[in-house]
Amino acid sequence: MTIHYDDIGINEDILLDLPMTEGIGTILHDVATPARLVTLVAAPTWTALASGLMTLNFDGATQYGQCLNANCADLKFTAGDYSILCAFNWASGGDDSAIIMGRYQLDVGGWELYLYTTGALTLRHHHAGTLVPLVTGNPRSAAYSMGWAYNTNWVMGLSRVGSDVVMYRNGEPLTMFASVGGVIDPEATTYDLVIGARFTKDDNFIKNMLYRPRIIGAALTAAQHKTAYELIKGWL
Amino acid sequence: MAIIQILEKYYEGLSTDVKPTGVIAGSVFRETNTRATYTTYNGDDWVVADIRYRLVNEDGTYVDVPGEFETLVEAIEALGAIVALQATLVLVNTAVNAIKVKTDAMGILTSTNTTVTTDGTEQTAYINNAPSGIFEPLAVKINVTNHTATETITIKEYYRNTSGGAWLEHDSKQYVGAIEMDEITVKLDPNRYGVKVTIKKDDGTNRDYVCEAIYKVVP
Repeated sequence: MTIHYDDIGINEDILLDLPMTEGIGTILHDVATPARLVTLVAAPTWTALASGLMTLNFDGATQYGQCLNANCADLKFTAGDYSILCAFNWASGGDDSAIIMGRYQLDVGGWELYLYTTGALTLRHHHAGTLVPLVTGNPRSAAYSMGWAYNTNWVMGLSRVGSDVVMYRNGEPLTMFASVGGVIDPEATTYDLVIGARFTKDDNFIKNMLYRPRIIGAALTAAQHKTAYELIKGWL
Repeated sequence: MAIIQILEKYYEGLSTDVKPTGVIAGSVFRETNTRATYTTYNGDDWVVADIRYRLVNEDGTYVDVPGEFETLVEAIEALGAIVALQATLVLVNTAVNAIKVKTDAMGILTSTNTTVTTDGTEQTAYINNAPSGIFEPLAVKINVTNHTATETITIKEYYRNTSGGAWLEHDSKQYVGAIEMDEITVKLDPNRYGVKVTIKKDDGTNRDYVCEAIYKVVP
């Protein structure tokens, strides 16, 4: 019996999947259908966990990954639902705000997922000018959850459904806090996909471990987030 | 039908009967035609009773199940069926867990893709430098449609057979000039400590070679 990658429920609409099996070098190979390449900048350290699982360790100062705009135009999410999965273990001592990943330009367009020293994890959409309703003139809309402590292996998942965002920690749904009116469709951007750094690639670096970022072009269900966690938990 | 007092605090009658007064607080009135159950908190006024059956597990945990039963025998029979069902579910759960242990350990057939633009050095077409478990790479398929009669390339296959050990060249093949087919398939062996396939241009013009790796991996 063979289990086919695309037949697994959480992979049905998958757009990016970086399992980090390379274990060396500066290229991450996407195993989702687009098979795009993500380039590692400033040489984050390949680190195997005790289980043998290969992960990347970022220094919180200069290291990040990127996929050029031309190769990730489909990751715009200016309409419709999407989901993000990854595992991380972040540490203090770096930037207060640490980007997990994003494809955005501040207050213009796109989306970003970032941690803050308070233990908050925020999905933020950027908007040009006064496009956000209800809070006129606000160039951002967002939703966040709390309790993402330092120095702990977390399996993170989120599903954006309409104006709602639900985040999952280790397969369990979290209490969410959101902007008035929820998370509004972001405007378009032509910036690169960044992993572990700000859109300008000069700040907001993540510090410590990151494993297998995934982006899915549909809203995963709670059961699918649970499944994603169950498949990873024994390795972390 | 007249109201019948069956026990000191238990009455039965029809829904059309006027419920008794002056009875012991906490008494129960059963409507035999509707199955509804009432209880009185003061001996005179009756309210619909919320009947629940508590199913207690061996470890002391319990769950309250709402339900209405015609007789105590019927309730006990229903509880017996639930207990039997729980026992069956325990067996099913054991079987599912055993299956899950196996399926969790199964490799998932996966592929990835990259383009190597040759530059005269030995370049990696595919690598897994340190698999997290016994790893089943299947093949690397190299598109050679850009390759012309003026190029010479060498494709090599390497493995490690100890953790962090040296790369061991397993196979090597040089293609001189035109290649008849559009695609070369490098079939790979199971591996634990590392596998890679490389391309090196030995002569001619730098070309793009699209390489697809197919493998089974856990998780």
